[in-house]
Amino acid sequence: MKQTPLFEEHKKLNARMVPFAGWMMPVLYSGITREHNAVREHAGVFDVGHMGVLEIRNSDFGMRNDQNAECGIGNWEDKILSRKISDMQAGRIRYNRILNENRFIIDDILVYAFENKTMWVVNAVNMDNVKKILTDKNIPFRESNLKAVALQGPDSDKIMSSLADVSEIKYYRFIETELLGEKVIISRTGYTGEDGFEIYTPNPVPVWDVLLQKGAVPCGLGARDTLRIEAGMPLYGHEISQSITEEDSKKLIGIEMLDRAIPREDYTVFFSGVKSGYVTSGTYSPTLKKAIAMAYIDMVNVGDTVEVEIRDQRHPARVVKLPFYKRTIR
Amino acid sequence: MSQEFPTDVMYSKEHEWVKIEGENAVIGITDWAQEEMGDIVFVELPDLGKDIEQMEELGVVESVKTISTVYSPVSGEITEINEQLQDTPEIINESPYEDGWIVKMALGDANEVDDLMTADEYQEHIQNGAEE
Repeated sequence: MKQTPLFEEHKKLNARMVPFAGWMMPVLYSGITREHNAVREHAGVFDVGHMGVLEIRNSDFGMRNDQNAECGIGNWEDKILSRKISDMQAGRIRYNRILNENRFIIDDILVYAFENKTMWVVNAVNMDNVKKILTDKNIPFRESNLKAVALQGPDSDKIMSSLADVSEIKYYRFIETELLGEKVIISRTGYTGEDGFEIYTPNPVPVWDVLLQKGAVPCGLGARDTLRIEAGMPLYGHEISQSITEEDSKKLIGIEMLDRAIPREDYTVFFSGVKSGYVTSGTYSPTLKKAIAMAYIDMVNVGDTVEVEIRDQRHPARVVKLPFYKRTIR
Repeated sequence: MSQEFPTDVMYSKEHEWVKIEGENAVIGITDWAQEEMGDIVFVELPDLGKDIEQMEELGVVESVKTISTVYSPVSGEITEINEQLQDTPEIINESPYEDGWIVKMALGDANEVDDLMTADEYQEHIQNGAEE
């Protein structure tokens, strides 16, 4: 099992550690609900050091608008990505997906655009697959030494501003700056549905420490999951995978249970008495105080009532639009 | 963080407790179990009047991330279920041995209590790395 540079910090905080995609990661510290609410109401900090960070020079990727791309590689973005990246301005970030020839999803990634390169933030579970694809296609890449720490929640701006000038960073943009004496990348991104930042640093321990000192609550994978479900964000291996195409993934929908039973991954969904789909992720929502799930269900519309089979009993649920939770902009 | 192991109940390997009150038994899950599970958000209770065998499934307790089957430490007939758990399942976290009881039953066989552990034995069971 691999350990992130923050492993010892998690142990000091008595985190419950679990194996996740080859890494030992904290699933919770004080309790999932408490951590979840800290992010919704104040600020939480997450170790995201398991995510893979790759760098690809624009000239090696054969960007559409790249004058130097004459070595026969040509337009890789059209062949392996769901969205083009060659039109991105430096300092911008775009959510993207790596697809295979048949448009099945190999990974979902964030692409950070620099003047001469892009930085790809890859799911830990897919790092080997992504590297293999790049290698197979003869696209040179470099593995970055940067590790991400995520600060999330309505108080993130106040906390981050006390450490660096982040006033210019709009949503899905980043800056390169100095933080605690290290050159870092700070982006306004996250996986919780709240305002927040992700800090890519070669030295995460002092960043982690200072964020805790400033009042951010340490949060584990458990809260990360409940927060991203409320925010309607897909997680690789659940909502999207190598057996789902980019087009099919757009049919993802939300359901809210009408009783307290909790829909879990792979539970069957019935519509008009017919087996019509399945749950991809479900949880009790600490914010909405009801059980929710994301699902693929054939032929349903928002407002329809469906039934989820939970331990041999069918429980009613309403089909809703994603996301379940949207923050109010202050 | 310190866990409670009251001595007026008996314990099962699967982390249920049972309190014998004459011909009746009160059943719940232990402090250790609730702490392992974390925030409990749903409890599925059996039907009233149901006959349950020892070690048969009694119900289901779900936390945010986990699902846990509750097995009956003794056999008997369900005489009462804790209705409060429907709307406030978190009372299992707050008070696992008192307010957070799960069912009451008319004892089927009082001798079955001999299969269970005392508080000391249960603590030892946990320290030996009880994971099942």
